[in-house]
Amino acid sequence: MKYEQLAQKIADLEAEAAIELVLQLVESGEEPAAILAACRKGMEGVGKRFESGEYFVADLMLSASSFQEIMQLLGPALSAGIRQMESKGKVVIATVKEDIHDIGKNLVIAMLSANGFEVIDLGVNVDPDVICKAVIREQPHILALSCLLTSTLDGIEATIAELAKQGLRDKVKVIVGGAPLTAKLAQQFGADAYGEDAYDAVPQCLALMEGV
Amino acid sequence: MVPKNRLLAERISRLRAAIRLKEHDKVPLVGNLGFWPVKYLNKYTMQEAFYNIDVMAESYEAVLARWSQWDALTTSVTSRAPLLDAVGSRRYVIPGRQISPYADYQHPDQSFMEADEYDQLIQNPAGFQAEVILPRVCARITKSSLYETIKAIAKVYTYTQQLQKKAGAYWESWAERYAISPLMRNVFLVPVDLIIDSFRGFNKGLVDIKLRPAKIVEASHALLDSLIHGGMAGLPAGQDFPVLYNPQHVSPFISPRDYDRVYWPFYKRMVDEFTGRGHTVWSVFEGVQDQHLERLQDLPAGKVVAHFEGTDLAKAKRYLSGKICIAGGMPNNILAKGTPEDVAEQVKAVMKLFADEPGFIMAADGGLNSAKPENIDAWMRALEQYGFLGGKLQVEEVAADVSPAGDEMPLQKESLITPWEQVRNEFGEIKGDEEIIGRAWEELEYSALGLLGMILRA
Repeated sequence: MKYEQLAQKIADLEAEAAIELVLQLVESGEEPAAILAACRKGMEGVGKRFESGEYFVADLMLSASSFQEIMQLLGPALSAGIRQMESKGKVVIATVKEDIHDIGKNLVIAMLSANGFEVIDLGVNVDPDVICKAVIREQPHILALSCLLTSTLDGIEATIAELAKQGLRDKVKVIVGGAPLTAKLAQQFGADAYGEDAYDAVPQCLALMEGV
Repeated sequence: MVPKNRLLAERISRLRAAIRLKEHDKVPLVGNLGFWPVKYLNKYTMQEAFYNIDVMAESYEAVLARWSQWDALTTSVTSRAPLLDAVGSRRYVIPGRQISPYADYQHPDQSFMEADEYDQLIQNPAGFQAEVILPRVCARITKSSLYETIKAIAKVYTYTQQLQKKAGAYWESWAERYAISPLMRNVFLVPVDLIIDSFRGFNKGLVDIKLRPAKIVEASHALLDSLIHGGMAGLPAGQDFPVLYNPQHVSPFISPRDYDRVYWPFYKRMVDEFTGRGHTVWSVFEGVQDQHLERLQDLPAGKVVAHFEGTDLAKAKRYLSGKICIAGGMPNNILAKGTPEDVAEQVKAVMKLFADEPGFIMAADGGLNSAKPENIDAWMRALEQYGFLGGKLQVEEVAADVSPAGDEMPLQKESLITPWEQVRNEFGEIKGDEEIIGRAWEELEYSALGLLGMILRA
């Protein structure tokens, strides 16, 4: 019952009430993994309302920020909890070369993490070669590339080309997103998927995982 | 061949006709060229252009020599980097400094204000910006050295004068040789855009809209008057062209409910003030703003341009036709990554949508920062083919209208101004005419608003 309440409060963006409830659950000795599962269910609810047009980016930001706060509250107990839960997939993410914008990327990280993905963040202005090295090192299922400027669309194209050049293209699924991108451009650049907005990355990555 | 001064008058008249939703001959074309001319010329790095206005102007010159069909250009030709260095601004990423010399100038998300500081902003908006925010943003505006601070401000003043003089000469020359004028005069922001862009940062600011909307509203009220006066600084009442330019960053990311609470009342009030004084407002609705179209119907008809980036233009037309002039229609990503055929198809589709609509101006959806020259060629050709509306253009004098009613609206004293009565006592006994001294004091206070705003936003 309390887990359902928690999921509902997160979905309703009642951040303070959700955090209060998490504290109560932790104090009463509930399993961190079960608390986390309820939080993720709440985040799914947020995502559904975003997809339906009821919520907007500011609402996603608030949900992401309260989810992160809850993760901090659960603290060290959580790492054991996370290990008990099955990861939905491993994602390496970066904003491409010559682009320093990270708001969209960070929101995608928050949404993917809240939905059970393990995400490795390479940061912003990341060179194609550095991304390729991370793909070799981390062996992710998915590589997510972001840009905000029209001029840095070139960075998306160059990174996908570099993956092919280094023989890595068939080792990883590539999803791209950001303001200047479209589904058509994603296809033109040879990506496997296009995330239309911060939340769309979640269903798109889940779909990509089916093909892994 | 049409003489250049006649062509200039035609172009401004065409833009005015579109804004006023009146019959005219063909769709006006506005060039929001951004920093793309530097890439087009391919002779200098972006860093060189940001540090030298002559480089930026040479790049614009190259574009205008090849394409002079624009009815006006939105971008002010400027090179801000030395000014930002003079004050030690931490706000931007400048090509050649924190990023490759070939990359674009960028604005990373940073926070310069804590959530518990809203009350300070509300109680004393000018003091808070100058005393708290400014030293956090600008390393060389510092309480620890009055000399460094004075020098930084003197450098900003000197550099701004130099820039304005040079930019003025370039614009004059382009008006004469290419019949092209600047579209925009002043820039203004809606309070919440300023709060989030310049103080709180995007991430934290959007969360504030959800968690502490009352504080955002109070802070917006506190900032409103200075933003209205900053927007009109130096503009004679009744001047409807060039326009007041208003980029909107926050509105695409908030729900209609939040928009009605923290955005719309302030935006509407500003537009009413500006248009009531005879000015034209050109708002750039960044991102997708389909959710706010219904509200925009209440903006004053024939006095505002709604420039859309990702908003559905067909939907925008359904809501705004006959009320507000719409601008946009050419996605930057088609110019950068599409083919000439894609560009022609886009123009054809947009013109089919707006064929019966005098209130439409074609422009790229945002400032150009990448475009293939052959796509610009295709854009111009397609507009020649599909852009005619079949109406008659009434050509007006180039000079702006001056509405006598506008002068009757007194400027309200606001928070950035230190009114004469507040300092009167410091002057002690005045042996002559006090009014002369007080008037000069306040005139200078108002005329410094533009520069003050520039320093506060550095």
